[in-house]
Amino acid sequence: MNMFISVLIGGLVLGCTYGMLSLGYSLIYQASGYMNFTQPNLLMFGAFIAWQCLEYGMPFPVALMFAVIIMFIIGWMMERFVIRILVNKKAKNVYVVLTTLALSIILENAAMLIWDARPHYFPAIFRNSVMKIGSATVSKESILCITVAVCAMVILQFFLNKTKFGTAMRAAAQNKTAASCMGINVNKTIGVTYGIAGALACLGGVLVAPTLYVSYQLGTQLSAKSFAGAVIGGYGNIYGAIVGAILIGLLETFVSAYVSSAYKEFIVYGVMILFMIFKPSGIFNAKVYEV
Amino acid sequence: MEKIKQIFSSKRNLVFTAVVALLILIPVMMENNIIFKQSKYVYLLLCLIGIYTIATSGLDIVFGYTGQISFGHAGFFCIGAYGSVLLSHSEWGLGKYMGVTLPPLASILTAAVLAAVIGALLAFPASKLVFHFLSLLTIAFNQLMLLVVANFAGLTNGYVGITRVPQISIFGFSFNTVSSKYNYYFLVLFFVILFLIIKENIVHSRIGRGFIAIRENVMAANGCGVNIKSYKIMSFAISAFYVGFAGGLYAHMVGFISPDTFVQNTSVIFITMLLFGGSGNLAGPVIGAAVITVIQEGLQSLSDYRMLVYGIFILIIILFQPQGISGLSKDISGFIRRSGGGKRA
Repeated sequence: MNMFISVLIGGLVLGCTYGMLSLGYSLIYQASGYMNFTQPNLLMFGAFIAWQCLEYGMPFPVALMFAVIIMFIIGWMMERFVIRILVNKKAKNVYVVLTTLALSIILENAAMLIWDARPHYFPAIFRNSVMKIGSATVSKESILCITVAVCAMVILQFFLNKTKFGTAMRAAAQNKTAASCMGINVNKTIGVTYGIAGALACLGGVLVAPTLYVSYQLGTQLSAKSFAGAVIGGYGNIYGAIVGAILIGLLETFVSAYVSSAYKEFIVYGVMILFMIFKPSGIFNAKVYEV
Repeated sequence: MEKIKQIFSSKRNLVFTAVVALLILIPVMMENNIIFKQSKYVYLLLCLIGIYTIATSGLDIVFGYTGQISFGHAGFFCIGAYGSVLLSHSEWGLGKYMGVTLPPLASILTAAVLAAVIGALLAFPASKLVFHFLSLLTIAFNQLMLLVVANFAGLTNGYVGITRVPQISIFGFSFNTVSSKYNYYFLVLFFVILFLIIKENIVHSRIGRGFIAIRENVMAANGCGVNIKSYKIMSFAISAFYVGFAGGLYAHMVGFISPDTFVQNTSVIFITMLLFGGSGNLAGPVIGAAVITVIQEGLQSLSDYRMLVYGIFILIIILFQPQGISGLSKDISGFIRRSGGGKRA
């Protein structure tokens, strides 16, 4: 039972981190119809910025806020100065995808050059970092990670459905022409979507950093599985992204705890490929087929 | 004689012949110290360009002609390389378990056929998916291949990799990359020309027109009686054969393979080469492979900054070319045509 609880918490932590990434993928896909491969490296970059802030002696909440704001700006700038230019030039889909890949290569190597290649140990957030649930011991960082992730998802949900700007974002995602006829600044909503995706990735990065090490390969490590999460949930669906990502996180930790850690990657990719073959629309029926 | 005259009357064939003649002359010039001062490195670079040309041409069949994206062609490259090595190495794979080995060229061919079969299998789900999901599926395929190769250490020696890959020889004539300088270069050149001719014939046949119809408009193609699914499967299989063959040539040239060669980045490099040179034509993959390989080798001296500069380079080219990267080659060819097009006006 003890093991079950700690494995469950571990799985939820991973699942929430993947969830932050796949939420970003889904938001961007919904808003602009493009795939954004930069997301995992935004996560890594955000974690590094927070780590640097902590090194300068900022308290944790300030560092977190600072990193999230910076990543929001970076995400927004990415759309404003790179992707929008391409879209305005009517570039083909594949060029946009390649651009996001190039951006992620740049981010990854910039991080490697700025903060060198060795993994960095992220300082513990709490002084006494162990707490008990029943008889199982779990770290407070894991609980914080899950709580913040859930809060972020609830706030995002509230923002998209209840606020004026959120409604504008959803309208622009549904039909750009109609939305712009209604006086919505579509470019602005898409830019903010990229910003939110960047901020979410950063949040995920900072919160998972105490559990994993911060290294320039953190993004690559997480990228494929968060994609798998988004696909299983139904690409482009916000709820699907969260559900799929948490499923992947749980699957990964439970397999490595109860079966063998050598097979966890196989099983995760296997499930993803099976989904691709038999139900590419995922749990929440995304639109994936041609015509 | 009439036939030969006909062949050379077309400007296209003339250019093709001139390029081949130049490529055959390069070793002669190098032996006589006219260019490059006969270093082994240049031969290695030329061989690499040739191998990447074959791989990129294969990708071109899927991407340029059929209009399907793939970010996982390094997976086929991997199948070709590992398949060929496991079939021909005396200490691994077939040699280890059965005690028999195939001669390297036969093993490359077998591995390429295997890649084609796996490509066809991959195309079954892939033939239904739209652009983004296809790229996801191919990425997942690449990752899966990497995992298989990295984790079955008994078969593939894991991340350590396999060394002392046997060299290619035909009837005792060795294409060793160490002892002889340009034999392997001519072998690669032969295969590049062969594969380009095959590709040109495929895309101008009924099958190729089917591919192009799918690229232009799926629904119209379906209406005209093109069987979308089987044509997409064919396209993936042919493409996988090309890339698998290139992988085999690569493994036997370098003499060492490890999973690090077949990561996601390699697939991205293939796509970059194709987009740089221009997709959907014969010369595009050649230009792209040559330019990107030379740039990558040139950036080696920057060591740690290499990938950063490479990323910025891709970004700048995409941003400042209205048609994406291939616009550059179009602009250049347009410029050449304009400057020499007085007769036609």
